[in-house]
Amino acid sequence: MMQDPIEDKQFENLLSDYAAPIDDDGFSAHLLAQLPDEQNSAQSNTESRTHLRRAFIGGGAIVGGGIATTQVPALAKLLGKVSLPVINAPEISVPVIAPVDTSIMMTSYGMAAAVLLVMGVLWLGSTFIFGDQL
Amino acid sequence: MLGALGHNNKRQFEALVHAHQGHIRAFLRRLCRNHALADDLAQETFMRAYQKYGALSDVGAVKSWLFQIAYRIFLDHTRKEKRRKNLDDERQGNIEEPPESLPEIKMDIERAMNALAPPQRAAILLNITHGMSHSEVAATLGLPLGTVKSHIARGKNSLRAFLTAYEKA
Repeated sequence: MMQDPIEDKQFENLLSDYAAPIDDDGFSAHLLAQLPDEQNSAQSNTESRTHLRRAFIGGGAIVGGGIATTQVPALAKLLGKVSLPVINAPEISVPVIAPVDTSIMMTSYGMAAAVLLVMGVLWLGSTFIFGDQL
Repeated sequence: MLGALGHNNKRQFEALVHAHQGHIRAFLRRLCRNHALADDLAQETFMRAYQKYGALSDVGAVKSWLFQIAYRIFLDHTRKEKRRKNLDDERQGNIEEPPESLPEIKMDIERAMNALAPPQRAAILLNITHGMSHSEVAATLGLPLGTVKSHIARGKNSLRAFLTAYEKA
């Protein structure tokens, strides 16, 4: 569609008052005062979420660690009762070796497992709480 | 994103408000024909622009971007008003302000422009007074290029008729 620049200029002049920009009259100041300081609020939201998450994880780790610690003696006792199955195999003449006390071994295994469990819970908890700061 | 709006960007946005508020408010006033409503919509326009400012890739096209937001907000408002009117016919809609006590020629221009449908009026304003090309107007109003061309042609016909009548008088 052809445009006539002279006619367009006439139209522009005709509409100059009709489409004239409006004086500010405090509009900008009112608007800018209402703008949310989003950067700060987003930052503080993130920080509070991080603190809340750390508190939950830390609390959970402490409670979990406590429960696990109270169960250590029972676990050790249980593991101490475990005995190796007796295998009925045909007797082969082999040189006699001194017998191994398995009950002591199982108790040791149980204690080691419990200690490892507690250490694991504490490590997991501290990782969540302190993250990269450690 | 809004969170990425740095201090410098906020300063730029303030400058943008000062630079463009007059045009955006005038544009919306001509579409709404209600000054208070137009200012509310202009405020909404800048609020939405603020939210999206961080994601604006072409800072050079900021003016047409603002007009685009303003026009969409105007259309949203018009749709809501229509729905509300359909629900309650008794309810009075936006009361158009009585024309200001303007000189006769200005009133006639206003009458001629008000006779156009809002999309035609918007197209004429963007094309003639803001110097946008047809394709820029089409992008701003979200209309097909052919539709924009016909809107502008119709608008110009109306203004031409007005000019002819005015010259004869």
